[in-house]
Amino acid sequence: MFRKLLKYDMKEVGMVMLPLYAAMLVLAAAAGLSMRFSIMKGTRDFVASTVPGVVTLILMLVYGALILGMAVMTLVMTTRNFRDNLLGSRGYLMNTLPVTTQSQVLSKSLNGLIWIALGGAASAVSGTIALLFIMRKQDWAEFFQTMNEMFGDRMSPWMMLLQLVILFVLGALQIVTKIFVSISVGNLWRSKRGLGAVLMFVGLTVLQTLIGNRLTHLTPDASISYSLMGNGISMVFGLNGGEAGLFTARQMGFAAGQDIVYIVLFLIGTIWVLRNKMDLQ
Amino acid sequence: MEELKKEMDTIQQPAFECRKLTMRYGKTLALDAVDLTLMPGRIVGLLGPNGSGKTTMIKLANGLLQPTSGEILIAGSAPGPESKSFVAYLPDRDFLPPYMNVTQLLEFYSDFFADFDRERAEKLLDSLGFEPKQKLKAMSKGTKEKIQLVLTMSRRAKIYLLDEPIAGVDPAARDFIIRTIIGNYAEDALVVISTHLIADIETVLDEVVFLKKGHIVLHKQSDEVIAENGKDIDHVFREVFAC
Repeated sequence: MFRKLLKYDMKEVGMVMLPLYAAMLVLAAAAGLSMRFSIMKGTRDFVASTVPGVVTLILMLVYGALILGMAVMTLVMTTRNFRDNLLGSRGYLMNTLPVTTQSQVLSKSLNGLIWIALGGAASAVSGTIALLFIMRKQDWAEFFQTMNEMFGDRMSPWMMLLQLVILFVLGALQIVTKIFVSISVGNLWRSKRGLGAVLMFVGLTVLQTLIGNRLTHLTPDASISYSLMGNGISMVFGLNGGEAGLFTARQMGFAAGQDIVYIVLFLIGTIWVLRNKMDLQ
Repeated sequence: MEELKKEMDTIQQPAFECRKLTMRYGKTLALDAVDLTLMPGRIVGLLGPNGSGKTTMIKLANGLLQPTSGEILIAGSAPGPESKSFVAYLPDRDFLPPYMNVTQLLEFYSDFFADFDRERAEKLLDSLGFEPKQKLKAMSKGTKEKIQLVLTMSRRAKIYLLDEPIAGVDPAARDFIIRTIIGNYAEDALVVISTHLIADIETVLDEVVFLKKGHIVLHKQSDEVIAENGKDIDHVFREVFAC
């Protein structure tokens, strides 16, 4: 039954997201192709004053807006999928299916995670497509040489990617489950349920920050968990006074551990509210 | 025949049972220590004006609400995934995913309900002339209600809980709804029809339950009510619930 639930959840979100991904890929290819014609042959400089240059700028702007829109739509659609199916009028169907509340909540959470991951993958693929049109063989060779010089003996790019993927997946799942528990608790309000959900989300975020600060006081290894983006950049480029290098096992343990604890707590909270306090209007 | 039916009842397990069932919304008492037992093989009218607690009782039976106190049992167990596999519920509002078309809805019901009779549903939908690829969001309110009813009644369920199935529809649609209910439920199933529109359905009811401000004020066989009062159920209802 869980697979069937996930199938319908993915279909619902996919109806909106898949055309967006397709548009991103097409726009990336068009922007890349247009850029190719806007680059001066000898100097390889981009010329914005020509017609192809203007078209390229417009295409890149639209492409950027589409990526931003896709990120927002991913959150909107996965949130709507949860709210409409379990707490809206469709809840009268979905909550009377012969499945457990756990299956419902896990299916919606996994659905959110899958679409966040697919959004990331679609962005990466579309960006690569654009670069394939722009960069020549020797550009790629230069790029890989620069990367090698930057990281070289300090870290394996695969290990770095693995660490970032683990933290990204857990971080995304933590946000999705936090949104779900906030909506569920907000639904306990007799009116202004949206406001209740927002307040709950803000409250949980503040609480997590306080816990994170407290943990960092106890051990600096706990600090990466609530600044993934900053620490990811620091890891790669050695900025903010930090030294470029992979996260240590201890740092990864703290970051992943905190996320896992929060995910479990948010899931338990959501399931408890839906099972014991559900009140469909 | 009636005696035999009563004898059968004594050995059968109740399909629907409320024990001191109480539901409170804040300060409002929707159901007040209700005791009610309904046996399989009956069509029961859950009758009462708006706000009497009918929808609350049906939502509790479907596990969509949790009682403040007391309990509700469906075939002897609390509402849960198991009871949901044999309870067919028709809510009093649109509840189907609007982005689905008729074929997708049939697939959805086949996927989740083992007792869904797809052939029966297709026959009923064919007789109404539905286009398989027509999306729900493009349909009128009345058409959507017919589809909802067809899907619900195409389940070979043990219990049908129909919340206001004839409210807000024209007389011709009412006839279709009543015909569909009567023509499709299993003889050994319990059918609970909640409504305040008595005249249209009283001829099909075996039992009536009058619910007033969260209390059961009458629970009898339909023919007993008619015989005792010398008038039809609609008139008795109007007397009991006179403002």
